[in-house]
Amino acid sequence: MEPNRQNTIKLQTIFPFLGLIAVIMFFQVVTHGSVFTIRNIKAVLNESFFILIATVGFSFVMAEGNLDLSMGTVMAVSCVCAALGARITPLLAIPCAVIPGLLLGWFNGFVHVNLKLGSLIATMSTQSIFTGILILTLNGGTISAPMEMLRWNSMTLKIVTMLLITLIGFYVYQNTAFGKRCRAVGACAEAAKQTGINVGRIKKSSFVILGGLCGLLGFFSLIRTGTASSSTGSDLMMNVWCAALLGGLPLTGGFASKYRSVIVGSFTMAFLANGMTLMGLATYDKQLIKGVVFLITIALSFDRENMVVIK
Amino acid sequence: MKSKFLVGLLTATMVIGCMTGCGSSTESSTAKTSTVAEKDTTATTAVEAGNESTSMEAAADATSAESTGSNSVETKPYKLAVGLPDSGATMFSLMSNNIKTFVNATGGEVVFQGGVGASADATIQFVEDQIAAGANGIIISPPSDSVIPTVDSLCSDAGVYWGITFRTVKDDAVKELLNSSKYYIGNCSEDEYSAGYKVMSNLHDKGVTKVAIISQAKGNTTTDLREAGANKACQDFGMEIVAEARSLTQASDATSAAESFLTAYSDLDAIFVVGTTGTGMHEAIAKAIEDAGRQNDVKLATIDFPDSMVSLFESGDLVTCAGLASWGYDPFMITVTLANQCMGCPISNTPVSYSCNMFDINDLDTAKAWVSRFGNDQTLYYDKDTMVKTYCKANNSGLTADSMQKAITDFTENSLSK
Amino acid sequence: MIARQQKVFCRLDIEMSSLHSVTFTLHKGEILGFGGLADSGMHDIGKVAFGITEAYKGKVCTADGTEIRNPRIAMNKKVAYIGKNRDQESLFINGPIRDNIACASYDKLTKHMLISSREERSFCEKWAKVLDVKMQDVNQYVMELSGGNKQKVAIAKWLGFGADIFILDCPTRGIDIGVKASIYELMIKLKNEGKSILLISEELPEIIGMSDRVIVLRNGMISGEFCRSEVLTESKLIDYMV
Repeated sequence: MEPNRQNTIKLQTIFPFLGLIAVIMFFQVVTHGSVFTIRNIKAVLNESFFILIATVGFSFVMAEGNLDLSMGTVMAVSCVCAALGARITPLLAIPCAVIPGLLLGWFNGFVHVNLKLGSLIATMSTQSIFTGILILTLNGGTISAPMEMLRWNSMTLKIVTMLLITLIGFYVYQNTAFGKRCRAVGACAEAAKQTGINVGRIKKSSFVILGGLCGLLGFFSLIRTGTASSSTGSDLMMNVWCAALLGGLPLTGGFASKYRSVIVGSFTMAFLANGMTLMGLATYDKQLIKGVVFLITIALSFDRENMVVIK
Repeated sequence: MKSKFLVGLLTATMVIGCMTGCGSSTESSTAKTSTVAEKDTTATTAVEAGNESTSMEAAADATSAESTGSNSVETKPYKLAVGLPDSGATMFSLMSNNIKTFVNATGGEVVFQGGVGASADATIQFVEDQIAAGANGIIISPPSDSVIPTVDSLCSDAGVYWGITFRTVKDDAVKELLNSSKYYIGNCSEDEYSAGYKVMSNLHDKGVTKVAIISQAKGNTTTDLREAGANKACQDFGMEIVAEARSLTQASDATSAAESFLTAYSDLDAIFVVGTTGTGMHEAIAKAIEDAGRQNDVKLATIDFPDSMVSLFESGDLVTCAGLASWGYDPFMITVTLANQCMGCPISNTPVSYSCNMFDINDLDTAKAWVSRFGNDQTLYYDKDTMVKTYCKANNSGLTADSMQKAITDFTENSLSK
Repeated sequence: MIARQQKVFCRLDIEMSSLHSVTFTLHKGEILGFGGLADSGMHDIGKVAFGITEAYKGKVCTADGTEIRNPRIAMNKKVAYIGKNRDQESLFINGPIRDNIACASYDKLTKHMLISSREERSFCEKWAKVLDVKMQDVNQYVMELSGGNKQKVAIAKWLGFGADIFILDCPTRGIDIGVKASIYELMIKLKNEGKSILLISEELPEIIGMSDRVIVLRNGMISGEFCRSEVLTESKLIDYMV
């Protein structure tokens, strides 16, 4: 028996936090204080908006020990649906974005649970399917949003949405039976089953939640860029995975998955990307640095002892 | 307990950070003033764009008195951001060298970034990031008209000037918006329609009837126009576009596309690269054609002169291409316009719209002549003194949108004769 | 709820043994013991009874006729199950004691859709104390506990849940004498409160000592049924088991 499992867990949660502080301080010094200007904080919030909300949804899926490769594509399809709906009337945009997201999320859950494919394979295949739908609908082009909708893209709306979703996500994750059951499934699905937890239903519900949130992000992408294209959300998946792992969420899920990882990880990613732009780094340098930071944080905080094959 | 400690540490970091931010900017600016004065001979108001303060202006004036070849009129320091890569293919480095020469000589800074025009998200993120980083002027090549209203509102809110390169605006509502925008300085584009038409009719002269095209997503105004020109030529000459592949980003995509074209159409005569953002695409396609053993039947045509143009002409794969005298000339001229605006001596009070004419190259000798002049990244479109004296309105009050357009037309016509 | 009737035909995987025409009834306030060799199929009895595995034919019901088809329905009828594989099935080894004890009782603890951390904590502390679990605090991870304490946590979970019927499969395997004794005491206490226990065990003394009735399985079929009596010895049972 390992003497101090709890202390190991504590270290794992501290490292990401220290990482966040280190990143902020580093860029603050190197850019001579440009990080904490009002304008830059706005840019950081814009950058973290998408990552944070998607990671909130992803945390439920990850707590169960599952992964989702189709997040960006779900966002893109929802963006297209929102654009199409907005042509009829702009008020339709939000439901037209969220509903496809929920449906696609449900489909992910169906493939994983009912067809009994591991989540990695399942979402890999659904991602291809969704991409196919996307390309067929767009037919090589892009769809634009009506110009009045661009006014909706206000900072206030974004901050309120971010806060609301983060808070609600927090309570659902930490303090509801559902959130706790997600983590129980991740810790040991068989034991969860023997405690009366409907494992299939919990897994499907998490995918639906993630899908719905990605759908909402599709709407926000539409009003931010005014465009729905096949490259919408293309880097969402990598950013969310990095944010989740940088924040310290274990790949295998379980009870060690803390909600604060979502926040720490998302902001670390946002400050990292933003800081590199402030420094004037080229795209290729940025990717190199992102990779190195990622590797260091993971190596320090990854829980090797409890590595189980991804379910 | 521990988490409370960590929260306290983070808050302390932020507070210290804010204080450091406010305090150190003046120091760093003066430090940079001296270094720039040392390295740049024609530095004038060569001070980094940071927080302004009167002591800095005094220091700047002192420096300008020392340096040679300075602007006769005081111009403001400025920072530009260009949403194009500065490396990867010769045309990128040629463009960035020229822009950097002009900008540095007139007291400014410029940063480049690749991958911006690939998607709407990337464009908006780039604009937001650069505004936050303190840019005074931004140049982008928008992937579609629909991002323009957002870009304009971001820039207008921040008081940042901006311009478009390589694209024209098609949508009427967007055009109207831009005409009334105070911060949009204009665009520079090529005569895409005739280029598309010319290349397709050149192909017809070589006996081509069935063509496959590689292009960008629909909605990209540049490739839309080129394709429109190509389609008209098809109508006029009885040719047919049998297949298309869009939005390819890397050479391996090009190889796969070429292979599927070749397999699906045994009577294919040509592959026409209408437009692409990737590098190494043409070489990959030529190789795919050769690997399939069909280099005698399937020809390659393109718009924008590729790096490997000479070797492709030599091997006989490439038969015709149209392009600018130099790919980087278009962004150079619009950046010059933007720079003048940011310096405080605008070339024009209404948005400009430059048109660069393309010309075609159909044989090896012309290709070699072009490459020797423009195929390396050290060629300057104009030497540095000319750049500062002629193209900075502070030194040349006769600089107008019309004179810029004339310079552009002359440049293309004289490009191969020098 | 008075009695519980079972009538089970069960055929399982080729590696496991089959159960043929196994029928039995469990009564209130009774400890029914199942004995047999390891591959006699008795462990599957527990799984089928709790609804984890499905029987090919026949069904498991509670007194009022509700068929138990999955663990949720079983729990609705206040049935509890602690399996043979403690670490893989009845506990979250890689989890805190707190979550282990609370996980069966989330519905009970939920008020206005939320579970208060404080209430959950006191709930777990209370039941851990009832069973006298030796631990640092409820946040300690279960993997650090000894075998006996782990089992106590599992039992605490079901006591906290408020089960009336307990299905226990090898409850004292790998546990030291002291804890074993306290578990036996607990079982008798529960019986006296009117709870029913279905005890499956490979340890003959345990079966003989604790059960009111004993059913012996051999090769998936019932080979004998006995009541508590002085003359019931291990050798007699072994005759029926082999």
